[in-house]
Amino acid sequence: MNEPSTASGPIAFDRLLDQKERVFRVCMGFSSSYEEAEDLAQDVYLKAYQSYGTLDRPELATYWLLRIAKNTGLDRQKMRRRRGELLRSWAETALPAVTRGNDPAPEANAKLDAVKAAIRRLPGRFREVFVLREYGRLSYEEIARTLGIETGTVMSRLARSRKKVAEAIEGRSR
Amino acid sequence: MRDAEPEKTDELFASLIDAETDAALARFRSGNFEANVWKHVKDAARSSPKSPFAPILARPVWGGIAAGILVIAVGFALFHRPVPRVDLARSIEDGLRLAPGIEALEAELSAPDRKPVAEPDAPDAIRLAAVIAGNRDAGGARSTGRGEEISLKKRGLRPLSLEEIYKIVSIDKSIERVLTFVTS
Repeated sequence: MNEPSTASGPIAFDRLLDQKERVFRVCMGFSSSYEEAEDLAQDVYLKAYQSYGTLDRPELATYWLLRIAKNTGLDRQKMRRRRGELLRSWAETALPAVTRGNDPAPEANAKLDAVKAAIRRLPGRFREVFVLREYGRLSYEEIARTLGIETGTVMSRLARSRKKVAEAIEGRSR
Repeated sequence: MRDAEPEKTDELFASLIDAETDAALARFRSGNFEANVWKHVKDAARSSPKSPFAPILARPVWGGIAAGILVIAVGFALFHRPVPRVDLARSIEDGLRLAPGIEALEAELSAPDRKPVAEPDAPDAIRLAAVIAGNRDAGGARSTGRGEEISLKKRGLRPLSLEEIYKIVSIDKSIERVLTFVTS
């Protein structure tokens, strides 16, 4: 396949595919279903393929890819919100990745629904940190590199987003 | 990869979200995500425009403008006829010919038996008319006789007044100057 020429040497697109599970995890954080997450991950790789010629630092390829995933996820949510579909579909189909019918724990599903709804209501800069942390399982340092912000900023945003999500869950459980 | 989390909420999030993502990952791993990526990439590469102008022309506005320019260019090439070159000196001369008195002067000068025209009671006018005629007559004989005047009347031509002669001379000079200026 094509390989972009970079200052540090060519990067094979295949190498980016090694990160597919992590990308998929992040996409899960921005999606309401497995199908949507997989579709989003496909979009991420397509965008990466179309623009990886601009990648000039191969050692940062993973962060670059995760940044594409984050941006694509936020864009997708924004688009859906604009169309007025998000609330309706989230309420109807906000499933955990497994099908709800096979899940013996409806209470857990309700909690997960509450978590997802709370995540969805977070402002973008908090949502991206929360998703990268909780879904992508990135360290503070990795999140900071991906978003191009300070580690301290990551920690403060994560703390605030967790607090907001916790409040939402507690408010629902009361 | 995760850092230690002191917050209680982390356990709640972690357990719920991990359960969700783990189940999804199991399904993800059993699928053919990578093959689909390559399929999409190949489709995108196949449908990518060859021409660098193609994305621009694909926009309706620019495509319409380009089509309009093309139609105009083709129409111009098909229906354009070269405009004949304008002879400026000739056109000025033609314009000046419309001035009053020129025709009479020309008729007189182009007559086969052209002679100086004079009024019986205007010796200056006679001389002036003789000068006019003499320019084209290559220094021919100056005749101011009464016989010429009679023959002029016989041909049905009215003798010119002094004012008319001056007018003709001034127009003639103007024409001459313009033509000299244009042709020089």
